[in-house]
Amino acid sequence: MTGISIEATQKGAFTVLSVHGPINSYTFTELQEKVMKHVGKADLAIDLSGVSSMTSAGIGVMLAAIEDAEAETKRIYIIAPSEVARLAIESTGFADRFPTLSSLKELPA
Amino acid sequence: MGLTLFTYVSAVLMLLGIFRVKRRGRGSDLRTFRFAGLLSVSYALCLATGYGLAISDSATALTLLRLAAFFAATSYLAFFRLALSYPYPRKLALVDLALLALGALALWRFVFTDDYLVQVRRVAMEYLRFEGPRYQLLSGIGAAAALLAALVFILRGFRTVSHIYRQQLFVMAAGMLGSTLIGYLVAIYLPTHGLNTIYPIAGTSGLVAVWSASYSFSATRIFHVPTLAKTMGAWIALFLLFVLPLAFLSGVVLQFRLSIPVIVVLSLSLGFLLFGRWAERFSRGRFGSARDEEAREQLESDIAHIDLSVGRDDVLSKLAAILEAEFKFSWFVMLSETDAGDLARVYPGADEAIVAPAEAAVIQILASLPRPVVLKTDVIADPSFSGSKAPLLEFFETLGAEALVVAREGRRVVGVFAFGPKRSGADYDILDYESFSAVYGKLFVVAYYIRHVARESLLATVEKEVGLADQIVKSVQDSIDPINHPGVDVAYVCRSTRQLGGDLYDAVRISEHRWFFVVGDVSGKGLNASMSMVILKSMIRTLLREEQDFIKLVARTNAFIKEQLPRGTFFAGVFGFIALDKGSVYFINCGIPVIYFRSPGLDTVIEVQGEGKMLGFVRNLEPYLKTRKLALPPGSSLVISTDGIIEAESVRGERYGKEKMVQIVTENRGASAQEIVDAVIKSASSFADGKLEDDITILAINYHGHKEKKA
Repeated sequence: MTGISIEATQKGAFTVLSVHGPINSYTFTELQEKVMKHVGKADLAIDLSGVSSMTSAGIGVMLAAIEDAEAETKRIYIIAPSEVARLAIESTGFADRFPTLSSLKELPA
Repeated sequence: MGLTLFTYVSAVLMLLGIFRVKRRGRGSDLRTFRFAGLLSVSYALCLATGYGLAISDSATALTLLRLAAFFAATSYLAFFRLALSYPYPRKLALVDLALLALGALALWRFVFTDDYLVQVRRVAMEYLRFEGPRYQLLSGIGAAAALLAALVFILRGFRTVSHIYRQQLFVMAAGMLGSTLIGYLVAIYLPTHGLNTIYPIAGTSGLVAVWSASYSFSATRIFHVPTLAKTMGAWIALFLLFVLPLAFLSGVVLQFRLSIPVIVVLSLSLGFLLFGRWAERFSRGRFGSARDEEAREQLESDIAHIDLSVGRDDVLSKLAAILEAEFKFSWFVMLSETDAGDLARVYPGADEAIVAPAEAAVIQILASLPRPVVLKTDVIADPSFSGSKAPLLEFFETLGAEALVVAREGRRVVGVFAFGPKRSGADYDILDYESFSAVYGKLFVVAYYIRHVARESLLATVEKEVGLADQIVKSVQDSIDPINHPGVDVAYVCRSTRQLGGDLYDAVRISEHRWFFVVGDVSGKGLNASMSMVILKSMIRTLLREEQDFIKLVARTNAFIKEQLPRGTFFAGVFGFIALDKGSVYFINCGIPVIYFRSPGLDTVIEVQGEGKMLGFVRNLEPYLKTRKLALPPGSSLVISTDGIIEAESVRGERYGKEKMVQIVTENRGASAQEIVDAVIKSASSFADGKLEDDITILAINYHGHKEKKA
């Protein structure tokens, strides 16, 4: 089974988490732990361009991260979601709840 | 219009304060309050209009200002009457008669004589009032009525045993004193010190009295004093640091309003933006609860992490210790429903003494309470409890409790958590109520565990916590009204890839031919998703009994998820009603990915779910919801599935997808509902090499038609 890899880097004020691989019920815990480590403490960008599949477990992590960031008035962006990630986000009917940028270059200062 | 605008606005605000109080159970006290409030509104309107006309029509202005003074004095008399009876309405015929006579006397002296006011004029920005010979006497009588009302409120507050009524009476007293003080400052003190331009805003003084009384009528919980002090301090700071400087800036800018209007507008806009921004930053975290959200989440987390495998007594001991640290009560009792439907004590001690037998009226009352958390002060002061006040208070007295949390499943009371007085002697306050409400979901799970699992003999044989929780989940999942009807063949599978999951299927029989059903997936995996599912299923059943409107039912479920379940929880599924006598399904798609429909007249399977909005993303979902209707001809089939099937992946990372599922459903034309379900799961499982990674719920309905039942 393919695993997930999450790489954390810094870009300006943002901590960038670049996710590669599938986000499903086996892998979401790792993503959740990494996201929770950073969210609310710093501005966060989650790069989903390398996501190969994404189930509702992944949507749950994203939603919790967005709500946590909002509660702490920190900025959070989803970056360049892959086709499958974009479809998963759109399936919620609330794609506008997921602040999305098409590339890391668009991150505000 | 100038300053009179403030008075007109205050009149509107007073009307809002008067009519926001619900009528139910208030009796004559509410009528007295509304009468007093409407007199205050009349005072404000006459005063503002009177001063407005002072420049053009001094005769009408004079009459209106005399009427205003009469309304002010009589509103204080009405508040005095309220002070004599609140909170226990009673008839005081002689007092009423005396007050009526005083009112008539006031009307005569204030309005039809020159005793109070002889003339009023406006010269430039100044108001010139020519007061009558008994102006001071009449004004003094009005103020005395207000002070007397405040005094009676205070004295009765001290004599009242109930703390909530004491708080209400003191708030009303504060309102009367505040109103009198403002009236004195604006109508007497400041004008005699050279500021007679502000006469018109004297009419706003009634606002304080009206809103204090309005708040008291509605407040059924004790203030949390530190939070109240903190919030008031923040308001004062906000006023001094931001509002006053902004007002000063506006005043300075307006001095130049005629010369360069564009600059005035720009300067004011900039000022409002800047001060607004600073004030918003300043306000952040300074208002509201003194206990931070983190502590509440910690409490939720502590309860959620109680090890359920240690046995009933230890679970309840740990729960008691966690709750005691938060609420600092003197003792805690838990009651659980027995198999006979009684409520028996299960903690402390293991005697299981029956506290309320199944037939006791209080059990029905607890089952139909408007909310699961009830403070004793609510029962005493909230008129919505008026019909059940006596048995509820008796129940509180029997337990010696001050607060109850009632765990319910539909109309059944599964358990009751009763909390004794606080060690400090303080009452349970608004924040305690909010904390109880916040952890209700977790307490429900404990109550459910105690009721259904803890006493089972299998407890000793199940070793892992996950196994225990699985028992809860399974017992909840199995607790459905199966759609057994000759006109239909229904089959479903609801299972988790691990032992625990958030998938949900429930059916509730509404009538002989009609069922409500819900199919979906609560986000997350494992224990947390399972617990959310257990709570959600229970809540949907409760709402189903309360809510007649389909869309509102879903909207309320959404609000529950957003407000009560852990942050980030959402639900993707479908809510439906199936009417087998009509051959119709009504459904609301809330993000279910698959609803396939096959008509006997068509060879193909079509998707009918349409677009949907998942639950848990926005606070108010109602505007997004649409009910769809699907006619089911005899011989048609409906297959509903959560995303577990179509998201299944092969070892090569390929997705099972909708097409393969359509193919299987199409191939199984004429098969039974169970055969369709089995074929889909077998196909997906085989595609994923036996490793389905997500929870699966699939429901198949074959409709045979209503006529077949008759045959």
